[in-house]
Amino acid sequence: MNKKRLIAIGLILAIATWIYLNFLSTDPPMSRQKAAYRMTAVELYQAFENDEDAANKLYQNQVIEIVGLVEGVEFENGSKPVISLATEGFGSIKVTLAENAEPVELNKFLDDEIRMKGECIGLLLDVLLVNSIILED
Amino acid sequence: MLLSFTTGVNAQRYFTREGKISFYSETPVENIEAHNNKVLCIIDLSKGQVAVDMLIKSFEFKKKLMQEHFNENYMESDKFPKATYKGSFESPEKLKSLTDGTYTLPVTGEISVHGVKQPLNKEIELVVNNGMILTAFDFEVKVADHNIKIPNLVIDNIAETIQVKVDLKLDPYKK
Repeated sequence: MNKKRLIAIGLILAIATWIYLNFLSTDPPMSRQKAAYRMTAVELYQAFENDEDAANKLYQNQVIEIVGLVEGVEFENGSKPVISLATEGFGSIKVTLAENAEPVELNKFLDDEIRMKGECIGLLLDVLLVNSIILED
Repeated sequence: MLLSFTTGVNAQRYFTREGKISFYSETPVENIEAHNNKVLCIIDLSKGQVAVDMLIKSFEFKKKLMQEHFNENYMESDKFPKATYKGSFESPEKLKSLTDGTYTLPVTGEISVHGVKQPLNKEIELVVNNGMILTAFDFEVKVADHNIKIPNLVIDNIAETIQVKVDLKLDPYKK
């Protein structure tokens, strides 16, 4: 194989890699992402309620493994299901699942403790986690 | 921002934490839409003020890849996590007393998207029905007005002007 052909193949591979990384690849699934923090729903909400700026610096855009009491499950047409975890503050931790699920699969968690993992995106009145999964014990 | 809005006297305040905002981008190449069902809105009828707050990463797309590009490449959601609107309006006495009916109100305010504020003035209809306030309206946002940069490679895929639809049902605010 001559030098020109090697350079051409290298160039094509570099362009293909650049296109893949910039336009075609997606983040790894949540199951393969490592949690930066492990905490309870009460602790996470309290952190945001006490000092939103400080909590944003710590937790925003971070993967968090969270344990909490399920106080509600919401299903909305065209949207992913949302599990609400109880806190001691004004709002809840609203955890949006990465995938759709049947109501019967999620309603069984109502009033029980659940362990989940998701990306914290910040506080409105509730603290929101997205792209989340349920961690089975 | 809205957490502080909710403290203090709560008379005449109506709110939702599950407001709906969708946006649509239509081009000959492709149509893109996304939905956010976790929009926070508070209306203070006595002061004639409205505040809307949403997290950009709450927008859901049909395609995961599109959602990631939206957050990482265009909206830079890690840097600018929220979009907000603050507006004011003249509140008619009948609205303050929450008399059932439809009220057409010119609202003047400022929208902040991608860290860039722009004026947004809109005539909206507020419907008072049985103690609730409902409103649905749409408006347009120009991508360039908010310094959102679209790479040349996909410039034909994304409309210069995005259609935004809002649907809010507000209950009396109770702490």
